[in-house]
Amino acid sequence: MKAPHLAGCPEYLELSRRQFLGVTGGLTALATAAPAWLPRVAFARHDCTGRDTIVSIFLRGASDGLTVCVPHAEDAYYTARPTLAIPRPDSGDPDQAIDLDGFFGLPPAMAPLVEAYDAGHLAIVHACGSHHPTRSHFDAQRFMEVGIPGELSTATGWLGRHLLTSAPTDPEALVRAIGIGYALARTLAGGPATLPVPDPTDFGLTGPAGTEADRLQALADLYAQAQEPLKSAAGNTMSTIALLEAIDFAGYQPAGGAVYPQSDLGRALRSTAALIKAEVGVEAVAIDVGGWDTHDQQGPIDGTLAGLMADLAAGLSAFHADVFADTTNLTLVAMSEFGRRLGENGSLGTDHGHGNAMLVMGDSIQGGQVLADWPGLQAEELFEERDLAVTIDYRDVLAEIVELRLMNPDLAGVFPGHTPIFHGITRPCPS
Amino acid sequence: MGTRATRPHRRQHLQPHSASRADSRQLTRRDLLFGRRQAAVGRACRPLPPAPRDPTPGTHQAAARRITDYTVAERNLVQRVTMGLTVEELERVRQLGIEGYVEYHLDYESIDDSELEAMLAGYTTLSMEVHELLDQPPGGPLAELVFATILRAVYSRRQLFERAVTFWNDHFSIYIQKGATDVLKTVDDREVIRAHALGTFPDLLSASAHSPAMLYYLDNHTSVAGQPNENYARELLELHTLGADNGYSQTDVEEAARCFTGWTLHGYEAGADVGKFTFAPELHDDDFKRVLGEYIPPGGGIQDGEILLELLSAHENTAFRIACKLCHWFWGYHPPRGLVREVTDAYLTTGGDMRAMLRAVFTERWMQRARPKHKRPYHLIVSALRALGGSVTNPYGLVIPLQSTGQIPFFWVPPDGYPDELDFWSGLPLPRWNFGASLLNNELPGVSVDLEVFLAGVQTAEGVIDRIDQRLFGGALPEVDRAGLLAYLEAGVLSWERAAETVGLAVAAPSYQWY
Repeated sequence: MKAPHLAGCPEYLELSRRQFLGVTGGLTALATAAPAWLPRVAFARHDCTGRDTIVSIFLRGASDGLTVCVPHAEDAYYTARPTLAIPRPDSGDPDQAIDLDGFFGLPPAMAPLVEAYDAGHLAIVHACGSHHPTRSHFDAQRFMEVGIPGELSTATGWLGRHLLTSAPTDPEALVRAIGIGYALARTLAGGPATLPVPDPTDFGLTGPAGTEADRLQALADLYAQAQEPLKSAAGNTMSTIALLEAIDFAGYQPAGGAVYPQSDLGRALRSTAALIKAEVGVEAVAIDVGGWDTHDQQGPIDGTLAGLMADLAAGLSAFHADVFADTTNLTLVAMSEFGRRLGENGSLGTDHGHGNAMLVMGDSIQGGQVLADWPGLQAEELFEERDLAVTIDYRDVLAEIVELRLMNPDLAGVFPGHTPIFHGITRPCPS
Repeated sequence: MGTRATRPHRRQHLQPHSASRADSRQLTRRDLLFGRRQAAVGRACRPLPPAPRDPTPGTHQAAARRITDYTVAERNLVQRVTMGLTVEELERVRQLGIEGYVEYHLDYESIDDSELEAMLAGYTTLSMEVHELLDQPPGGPLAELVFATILRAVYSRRQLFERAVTFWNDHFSIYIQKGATDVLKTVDDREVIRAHALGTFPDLLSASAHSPAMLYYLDNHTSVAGQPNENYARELLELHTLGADNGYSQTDVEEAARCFTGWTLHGYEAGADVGKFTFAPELHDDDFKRVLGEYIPPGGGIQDGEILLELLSAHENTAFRIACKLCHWFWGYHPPRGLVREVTDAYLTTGGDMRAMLRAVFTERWMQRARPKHKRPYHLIVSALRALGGSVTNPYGLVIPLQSTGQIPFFWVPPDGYPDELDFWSGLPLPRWNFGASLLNNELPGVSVDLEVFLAGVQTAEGVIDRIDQRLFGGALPEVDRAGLLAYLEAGVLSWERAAETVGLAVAAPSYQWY
């Protein structure tokens, strides 16, 4: 099924909705155990004005949720990971976990996030993920980004479909969403006025300066007659060149004393912050962070995983200090395709697992909590006797954000075949 | 490097018989629940609605109107056999005929490549063993391998061989910046990929499984009895052979991992043998295994892994999947079932012989029907250099646009290799436009196009466009692009600068993004 490459024409919205709803036949068995008639947990309908901008971060390679959010109250965790476990918060070990709520804690590498957690802006959802059993990175990433477990034919992403089924926040917006990278993250696939941008600070035409405008026009003319998807890609590119040239990235001063790390993630978040504050109508940004597939020498205290977590925490805390100081209409999520094995392997690493920890940050997020329907880590409580189970479908978390913070009630369009349960990740708005 | 852990042999796995029976029951239940397709269909060849319209409208009409020597089948063949058509290659297919042209390129060792070899004469690391590579300045071997790869793609006369090398380097992808892979990959490229690119798949698979680069990259060098590391075993089944969840279970992955315990590489203590493959029996799980329904008796040592490799090579799902991928690469998106069946049959009847499979693809009938494919950035850049007769004295000048388009050879991080999908690459045209502009504006250091040679004998604006049509498009430049380029050229004063910019726009033009 071809992904619809649209410019937002109304007639195509109907067509695309039929297309991706059509694939749900046979997939209803994938829906969560909750029966279809069960109403969503009722929260007061939000009376919030303004829709959030959303930043979706994908940690590629299967992040180790049991390190990102340490279940320090579980003895089984320490039994299964004699080398890799983060010491208990009360152990006196210099590398001990930072307690969050008496059961879970943060590893030392993620200490910079304590501030956002204590401010009530950061929540962690644990034992979270997809119920699909695959341990293939590539399939699991695809299913998670498409938002339909097991679905191989649909090419649109959940966030792309959200954009398709909602009107732009700014009718004049030239660009509604960007994915920072060389190829558009599947999360955003199908989104109108959406394109990949490897580096927002450097997005213009090269060549002789005197003929730049003429050559750009020549390209616009050539591509106006091209077949899709090249035609739309070129159109989006033209819009984005104009848009980004008008933003002073070089002169951007982060607020709140925020210092972004000198990493790809740090630069991506800094550019995202500048883009959001410029208020040019960009509603969604997708960012990828690779390297999380720690099969070997995982190093949760001072190795590979520690470095990844430190970078993530530094980036997110800088973003928090920078953007949340000025902006309240913003939600950020960080997810990964699945978690990692409870037991450590022979290479001082972990193999592919199942349940994971998801990070959610926002002014109207019910932060300061680790939200979990914790299944436990005894052998009979594990998924396939190996892995942390999934008790909260990640689509529940995203659906709650889509409806209550992105103001899109069309959850059947964004997550076809799924009846979400809201777990209270968002704060009720003042009425 | 591969330090060898010394751990006691421990049995931690479940009883194999009951585990596999339980798992086969589970597999069936999963099939029902998730509607997984029959194994015969596989991942790379999902059935799809009728073909999309030709993305280069007017191509065929244009070809009929203008005097052109080349048929659709000839042009499609040359564009799939080479990394970018040239007049020389088009003339060759005209002289040899389709079958003769294919045989000419399949017999790649008979093709004289001395010009390229002269260019690579200074790249001494290409032929080195690991112990010598480790003595090189850090990053030296990596740079030479990347540069040599680019030069070979542009200048080798053994173009079909280079196309196959690119394909297999993606299929058995190894990220060159993970620790020691920055030296190990040089050996892998030479002794695994290039040694077998037009050989047989079983030979290639076996070479890859014994490759220190692959074992190191996927962490098998620390996989030991009692605590195996699943990474290589999983990707062997998922990416290299059967395909994701296509005939194996999680238990099969674990049993496969046990088969490969002890497959590792020598450390520094081995002196001149550092970095070479070795089997360490003391690390191997010698208990019996049950994998893919096959019972492997205890005490097999290295044979456990060898048996598994043979099983995988002979497996119908592997044959189908490799055939699918080859058709996708060498024919086009959504290859017809008939074609895939022919190539699968060729695999199964010849034991995975690449030449036999390619003969099945490169027929007049299938080339006549081949639909356009989108050039990945590497392909675009190489094809432009070929068509323009560009000169590359420092390949770093081409690494710049490869970086900005996102396709430096061997820089793809996960083991699934650079994607070959339209939706993946088509969203980012700007760096391609910039490549065209930079190349023709002499902004790429060490890379130049001699415009006077390229436009020799041309006197008019129309002549410039005709020359572009002939050299870049083999006479098939569509009317819409022709008109757009001519309009740009004629809007300014007819100067070398304007002509250069027009050639740059041709490289960036929509129809040049397809082959």
